[in-house]
Amino acid sequence: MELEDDLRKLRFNEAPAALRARILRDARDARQASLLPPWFIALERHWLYPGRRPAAATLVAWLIIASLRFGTPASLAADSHAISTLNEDQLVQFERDNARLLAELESSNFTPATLPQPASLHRESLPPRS
Amino acid sequence: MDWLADLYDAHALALYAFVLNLTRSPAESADILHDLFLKLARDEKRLRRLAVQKSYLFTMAHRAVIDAARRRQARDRRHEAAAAEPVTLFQPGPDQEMLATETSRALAELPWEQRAVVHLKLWEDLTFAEIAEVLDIPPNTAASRYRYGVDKMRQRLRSLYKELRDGT
Repeated sequence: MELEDDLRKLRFNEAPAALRARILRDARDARQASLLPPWFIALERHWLYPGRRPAAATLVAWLIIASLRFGTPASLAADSHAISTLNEDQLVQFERDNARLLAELESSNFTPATLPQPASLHRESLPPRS
Repeated sequence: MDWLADLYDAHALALYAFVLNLTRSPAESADILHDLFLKLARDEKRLRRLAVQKSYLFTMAHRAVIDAARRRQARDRRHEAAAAEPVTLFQPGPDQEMLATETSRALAELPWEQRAVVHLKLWEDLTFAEIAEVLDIPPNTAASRYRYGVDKMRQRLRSLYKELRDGT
């Protein structure tokens, strides 16, 4: 047992110091990415930045376009609040709907030509919001 | 992210040592640990409720190492080759440098299965039942692999160990 006792005293090398920061940063990024709506991720992956992670500047640009097209940050916040009030069954349904939307986007021929043209994004050209 | 940081601080050192002992590649070990913790982060809600156990993390690490090897489709060749590669497993201590180097080599000469058992028994102090659970083998197999592994290491290190003992 003496040898085993002495072997137990050996101390292993530690993981590289930068690994901890890398893991925590990537976990945070993954978490933020999971909060983005599926259509946004699909847009980024298929058209804007194929194969790249969402960038903050892109996120801001798309939020501006999205608020022009779908509503203001205030109305989006209201949507977020509405989501937060869903019960578990409704949340499951919400997730399914999102997954279906994503699948539809991914299965369609998604090219820049099929995206809304800038002119049509202008608020005046949109039908009045109900 | 505090939960993940706490989990990392509590277990990363032991997991890294285990993975490094099996892969013999610091870069690959870091990548495996990275993926493992990201997987944990994705499942945070469920794992928080379960209160993550040490043996569960070693099970994940062991599977991750095997998966990484399978992905290369050359598992046996790779491990044999990797085992022969010199890698610094231990921190050099004042009186332990020779023992650390030779132990690292002796471990590298053990078959992969024995090395995993010896590591978990000697440095993680797991019971044979826990080791069996981590490696998905019967407890008796874990015990016999440990016995064979330690016997080989004892033979390999006998002369050095005697020298060190006599010298002190």
